[in-house]
Amino acid sequence: MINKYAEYLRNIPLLLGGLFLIYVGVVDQTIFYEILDKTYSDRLGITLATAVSAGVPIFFAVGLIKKGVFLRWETIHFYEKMLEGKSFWVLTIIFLVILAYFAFNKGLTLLSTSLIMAACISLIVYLIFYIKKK
Amino acid sequence: MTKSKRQIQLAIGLAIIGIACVLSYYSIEEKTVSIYDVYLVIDVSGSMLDEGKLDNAKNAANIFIDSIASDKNQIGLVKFSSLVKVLSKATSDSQSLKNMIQSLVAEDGTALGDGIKIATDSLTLEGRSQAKKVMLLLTDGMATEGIDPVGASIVANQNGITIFTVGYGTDADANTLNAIATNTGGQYFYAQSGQDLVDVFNRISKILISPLAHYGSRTLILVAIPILLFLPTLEKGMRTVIEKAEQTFLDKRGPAKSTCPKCGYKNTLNAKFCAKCGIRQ
Repeated sequence: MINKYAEYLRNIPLLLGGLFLIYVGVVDQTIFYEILDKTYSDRLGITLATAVSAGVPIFFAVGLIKKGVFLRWETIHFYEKMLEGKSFWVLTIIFLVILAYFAFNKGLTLLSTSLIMAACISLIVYLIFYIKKK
Repeated sequence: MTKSKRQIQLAIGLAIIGIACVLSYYSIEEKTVSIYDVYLVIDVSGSMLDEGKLDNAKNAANIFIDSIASDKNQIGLVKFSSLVKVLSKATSDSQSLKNMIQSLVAEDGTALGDGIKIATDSLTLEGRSQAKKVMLLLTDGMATEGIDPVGASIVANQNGITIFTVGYGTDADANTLNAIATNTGGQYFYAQSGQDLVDVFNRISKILISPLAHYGSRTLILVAIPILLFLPTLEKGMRTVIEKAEQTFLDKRGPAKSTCPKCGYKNTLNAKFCAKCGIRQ
């Protein structure tokens, strides 16, 4: 029982990372505008921007939350394989680097972008140690 | 788990995402039909001559016109210094607007409040009833003449006009511009350089195509991804629920019984004699 709680406690940073990525997917507009800047603002462009800005963060958030709390929940085979290996975590780091770059470009004078930048850097550092331990 | 089952899972998941994207595409179509009447209200006071501010403002305004111009949207132009003049009522002719912007010349003081008032009057009288009314106000200083700009913004708000304010340079009156934007449900932006100004104008044009306006389509994607990934868990959960429902149904029905042909009493299924009349079953 104590081991189980210890495991949950160890995984809290992953849970927090997952919640942060949910925030990025649900509320934040950084990725949306970055994509929209590089595409036409027509229906297709907006659909693409919406799908990517909401879908990609949630894709990574699900993995982090699963590894953080829902350890026994089963995901589809291919995703499970990615989570067991290093590829998922490397992709998450790449995504966070891109997100931090977007936030930096947007200007750190805004509180939200500063928070995103700080969260990205913290999570990247944690994930690097997490991958090394795997 | 067999290979074919894995592939079916993936196919179902991708189909869910595909459907979500298609629905998202069509829900966006319904919501992007917002039509805008936008008035550019530009400060041409003497101070705009410093550091090429007016040239930077012209450049940013031209880029803004390119990004917002469409058959549906119309843009108007108001300049203000000591005097205010409506250079163009709301129009879709972006080339004529650009020509007018190029002809702007800096002079005299800053009648900020008058600029808002005249633009409000023009938008209210000339604006299309189905269009959302927006004002983009650019200034590099504070009001030196004319009526109170904050009071003018309250009137604008009463007429359903949203004002985005842009303070250009360190002399811009941030407090007043912030109050104007807040009063009308708009936003205040600060630009330090010409490039900042272009970025701010770009950002305002993008706000008019806000992702929050397409939240329905965003939600579809947000829901579809976890469904795709947790498909096996959902499948298990569904199976458990169905099995439980079946069990509850069987428990409620109770064991099967046989009816006595003589008295109609319901005996247990394997009873040899009727418990009521004693007849052999």
